[in-house]
Amino acid sequence: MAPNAGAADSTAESYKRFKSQWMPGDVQAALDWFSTAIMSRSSFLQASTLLSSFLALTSGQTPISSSDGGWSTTLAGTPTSFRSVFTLPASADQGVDQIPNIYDPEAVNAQDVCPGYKASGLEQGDRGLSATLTLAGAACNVYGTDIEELDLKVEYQSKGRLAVSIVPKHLDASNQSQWIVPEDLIPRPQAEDSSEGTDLKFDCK
Amino acid sequence: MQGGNEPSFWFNVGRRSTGDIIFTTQGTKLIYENQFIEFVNSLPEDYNLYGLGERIHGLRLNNNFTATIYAADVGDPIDRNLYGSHPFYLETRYFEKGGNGSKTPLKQSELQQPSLGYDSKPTGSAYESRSHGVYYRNTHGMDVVMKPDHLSWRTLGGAIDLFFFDGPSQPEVTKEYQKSAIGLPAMQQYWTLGFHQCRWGYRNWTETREIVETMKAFNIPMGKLVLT
Repeated sequence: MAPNAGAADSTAESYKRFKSQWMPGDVQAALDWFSTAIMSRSSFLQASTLLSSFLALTSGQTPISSSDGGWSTTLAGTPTSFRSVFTLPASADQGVDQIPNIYDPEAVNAQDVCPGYKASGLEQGDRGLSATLTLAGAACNVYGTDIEELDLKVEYQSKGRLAVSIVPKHLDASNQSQWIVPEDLIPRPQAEDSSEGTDLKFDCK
Repeated sequence: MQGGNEPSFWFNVGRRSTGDIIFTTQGTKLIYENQFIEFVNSLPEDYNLYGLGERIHGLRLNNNFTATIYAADVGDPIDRNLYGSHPFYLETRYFEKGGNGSKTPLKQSELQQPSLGYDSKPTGSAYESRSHGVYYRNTHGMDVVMKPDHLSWRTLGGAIDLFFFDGPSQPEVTKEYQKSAIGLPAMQQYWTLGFHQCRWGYRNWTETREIVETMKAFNIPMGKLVLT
């Protein structure tokens, strides 16, 4: 396609070209397998996308990259060359070398090294049960710090719905928001008047 | 079959009517840390799971697949995490009806009835199915690691807040989930149901107006024009 073909397409075309030019394959690949552990590269994506659309809009032409890493293009009839100036340091491109656990054959399997919990103090109620869960051995602290004591609460909320919640035993205003999803963010299903005739059954004893 | 403390705490959720165990953590450990929570439930061979969106993937989830739940705006990556976060799955199990009212669990690959579920006379079916739903109310980054016989739920924080929906039909599971947990979809205004015209790179008002005029000239109804 000739530079500046006049149609609106040239903008889209040069955008695409810039995108492929300025998003190296390895960054694209990293984004493609973006998992819970990988986040650092997304800001670079945004920055490079912004930069390329800006250039595409201002030049309205098809710039040509040169061997020294810069570009040259023609602005208002004047041949102009310029180099990339990142608003982020170029090192942002490099990120931290990370591999998501699910792809890492050497990642520790928590199931192999952690002790699990023991239930005690089981109390049956009209609409469910509660118990205390206590760490069943030495803490494994594999991806954080093990919580020693937990509260188990089971509630038959309605005929067709059963709720099982496990939260740290020691919760107060200072650490509540780390554990408990606020009601105004995502409402929690509430118990209805009756759960009579429910087909569901919880067992842990 | 009961839940218990050996070798460590585990639990079951079952159906009273049939004795089916729909969810069990037997033989696995609960890991509960400030930045990592994991629990594991076993599943029948060749299980039928649907949900855990949002991603571009077959409707029935692969039995050896990791569903990452972490809202991300990265184009259209096949099998990867997308915009929506829905830590919910629906599972369907099939049974073969025997003589004296017995029900034998069946793998999907053993079903021999291509029209299953769409028969004009469903009473003639040799099979029946039961579905249930599991919703994990947790907003942290999550990996749902599906293996051929179990599923691991891993989150980067928060608490365990699980909801089980008994169905036993698929529509009932969906209704129970919508009505109690996430709510019904919002009613849309009439024009949103119409044709939406969109393309990257409209430059100005003149160009946009031309689109409208051209649509009009060719009698193409248009509900909306998106400027990007």
